Amino acid sequence: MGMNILLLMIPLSLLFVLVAALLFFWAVDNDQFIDLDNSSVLPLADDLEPPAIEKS
Amino acid sequence: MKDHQEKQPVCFHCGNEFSDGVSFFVEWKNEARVCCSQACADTASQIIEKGLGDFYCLPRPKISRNKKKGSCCCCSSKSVHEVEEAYFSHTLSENISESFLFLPGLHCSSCAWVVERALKQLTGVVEVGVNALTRRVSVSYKKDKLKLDAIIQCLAEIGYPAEMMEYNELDALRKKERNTLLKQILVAGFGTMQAMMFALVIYVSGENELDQVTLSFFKWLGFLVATPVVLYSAKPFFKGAFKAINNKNLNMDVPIAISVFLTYLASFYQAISEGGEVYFDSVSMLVFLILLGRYLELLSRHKAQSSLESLSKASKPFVERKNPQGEFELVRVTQITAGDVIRVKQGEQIPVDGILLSENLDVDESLITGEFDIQRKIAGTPLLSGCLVKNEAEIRVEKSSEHSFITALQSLSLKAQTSKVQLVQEGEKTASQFVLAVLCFTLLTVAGWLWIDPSKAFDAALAVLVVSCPCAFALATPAVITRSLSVLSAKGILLLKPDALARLLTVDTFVFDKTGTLTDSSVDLACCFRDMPPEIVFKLAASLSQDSQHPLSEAFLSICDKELLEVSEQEFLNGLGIRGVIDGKQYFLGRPDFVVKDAYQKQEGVVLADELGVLAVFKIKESIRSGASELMQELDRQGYKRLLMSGDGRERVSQVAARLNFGVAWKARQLPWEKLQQLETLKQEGHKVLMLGDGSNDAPVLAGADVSVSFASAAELAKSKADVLLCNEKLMDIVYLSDVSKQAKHILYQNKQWAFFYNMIAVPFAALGMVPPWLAAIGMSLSSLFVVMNAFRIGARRAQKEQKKDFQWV
Repeated sequence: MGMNILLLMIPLSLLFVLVAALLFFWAVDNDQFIDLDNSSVLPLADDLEPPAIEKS
Repeated sequence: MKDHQEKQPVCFHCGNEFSDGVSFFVEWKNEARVCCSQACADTASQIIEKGLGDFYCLPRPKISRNKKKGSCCCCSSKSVHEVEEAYFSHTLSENISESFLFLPGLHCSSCAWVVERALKQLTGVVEVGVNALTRRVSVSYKKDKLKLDAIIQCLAEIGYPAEMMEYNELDALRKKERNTLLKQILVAGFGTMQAMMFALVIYVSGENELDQVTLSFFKWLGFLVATPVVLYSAKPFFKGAFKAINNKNLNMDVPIAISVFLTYLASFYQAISEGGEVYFDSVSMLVFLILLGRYLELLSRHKAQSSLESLSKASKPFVERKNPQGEFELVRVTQITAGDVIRVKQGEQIPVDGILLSENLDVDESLITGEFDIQRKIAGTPLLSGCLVKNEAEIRVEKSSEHSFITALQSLSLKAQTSKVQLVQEGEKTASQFVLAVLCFTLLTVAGWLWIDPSKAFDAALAVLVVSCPCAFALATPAVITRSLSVLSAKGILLLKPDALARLLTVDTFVFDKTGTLTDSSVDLACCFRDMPPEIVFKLAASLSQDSQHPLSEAFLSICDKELLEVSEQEFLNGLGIRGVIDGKQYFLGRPDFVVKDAYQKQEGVVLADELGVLAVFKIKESIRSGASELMQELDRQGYKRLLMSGDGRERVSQVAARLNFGVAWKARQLPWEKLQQLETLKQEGHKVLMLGDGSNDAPVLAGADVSVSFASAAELAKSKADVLLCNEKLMDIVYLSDVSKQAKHILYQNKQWAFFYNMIAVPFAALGMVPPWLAAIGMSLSSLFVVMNAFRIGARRAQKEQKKDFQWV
């Protein structure tokens, strides 16, 4: 029956969850979540347009 | 945005519009850019020189404009002595030190970007950590390659004056608390998703579609993923509940812990006995959602606490003391004893009470007494600690730090603060009462079903437990508070004590300090001689005032700060005035008796003269701060009582009171304890008082008032006692603050109503056994979502209007 594949897939998915959780724990311990608002845009800095030149 | 630019030029560096015509230029990417002041232009050219010109491509909110000349360029930063460096840095390893700096001007990620890059360019820097939320920077550096002094210098050059901070263990503790909670949230989140997935199989399968073995396989899978959620993620609730029961009181944790524990255990029993429904998905989700609320609350609490600490810790604990060899050395203020001789420099605070040894000294006592004039002291006069000095002087110490005036003020403030009634966490109280009521109802359900049909009792009781949602209650308050704080901080209003928001609602009386709060000092031209045009007179006076920290110099510069003339041989003469050479001609600006020794000697005010004689006489006057009269009108419109309390003389106070329509509600010549007494009387009459003040003499009243508001530029002591800080120094922000608090109250009320009605409707159905587990799960998540989304309405109306004007993204 097709149901038997579940016996493989479900433990596999649980394994993935475990790996993801461990990775996240590692990231938290390495201070990756201290400032979420402010680091995210910085890699985009190169692509930003310079401000318009003032005419006065 | 575009039409704004056509009307008024916008400063390249600080982004402010400026209308006063003259501009300064800085070259960037081969084009000349306009700046509003020399300070901005200098800073910009420093940033570009360091190769960090990309800073100007990044989106930024407006930097608050440097009103004081030179306050953002390198000249204002003081050098760091070795003793201080040793005190303010702690050793990481043999050759590497770490220092913590507080950067008041750091407000956004672009600032963080430029600060981090600039510091990393310094040789010897090992690691830089910039936190834009707390405005703090940690730098670790090699001791032999780099000095703290150079780091602070570098920051000052790019426009971020830094203050050294003591190493704080609390910071590390907070970080740990936050990280643990984050991990618990993640485990709960993953567990919830998995549990839902397995539960979905059970929900969507029709009758007899799955055989008994597969069905219980999925139930056990649910148990597997929910177990870490209950045992690890829900730990804070169990801990909190245990603690509360030990102390014989009731908090929100108790019902949550009971609810989680019972639901989990009952579902486990259902899985073993192979009957009925399991609620592993709901129990995980409950833990996940409430933890999210806790996390939000924790973030805003930490942010408020660390800004408060930055304020009270950033003051300088060092002073220069004369040793027996006649040299000055840096020592801690607490080491000073009576009889020591200390030296204070221009702009510093006198750290301890003493007697003046130098010939003369100009002090600004406004922060202590509210007195508005600069006081001229001669040798032998006693000096109070806490005054700002205007020129360098030597002082003989009379009282040690702990017996000095400023410490007395501090302890008076502390006393007033502890007498403040602690606001009970009302939200928690109603919520936990409610959830206890639900638990009682669950017992009733069990009893009822046992009587009618014992086989259904267990299922129904479990359904009641799951459907009654403590989530919405638990999330209501943190969501509202977090949202309010972020709305306010986007406007530059810093809530140092989040519960002030609730206290603000009860306020019916506003008490104001005068000097520095409602008024500024300004100068007015009294008369000109020798046909000098007033513009030239002001330009000369302002040019001479450059680089001086005297409040009157600032007043001159605020009138005219464009195209200042080059001054050579500039000389600041102790409390008398300024001498300098402009265009080869010598000029004087200062007291009449200093400038000329003739008939004008008796004249009050400030005189400008050249070698031939008097050019102009200026009157010193007090001007009402912008926004003050609008604020008064608004307060009157809303029916608040107002009171003006000042340490200044009767005449000045009465004038200001008359102009701002205070009627008879003003008091002059008030000493700090008299102010506090007034406040106590008001409170005894049943009034709830908001105090707005900026001086050290206001600190006891600020500490004792129901809500206290101060400015970012206020005296350290006043700031540390304030509940709310207005960073943009706009008086009208108080109205916004009170609007937000009203809105927050309204939304909180709505949220609680919602949670109440949701439960009123859902629980009876659950008790009758009519709510299947999938509906319970959906109901719980929707009611929580509603509460959070509703909180986002706070400040939304205004935010839309604001967004068109300027782009804020912190």
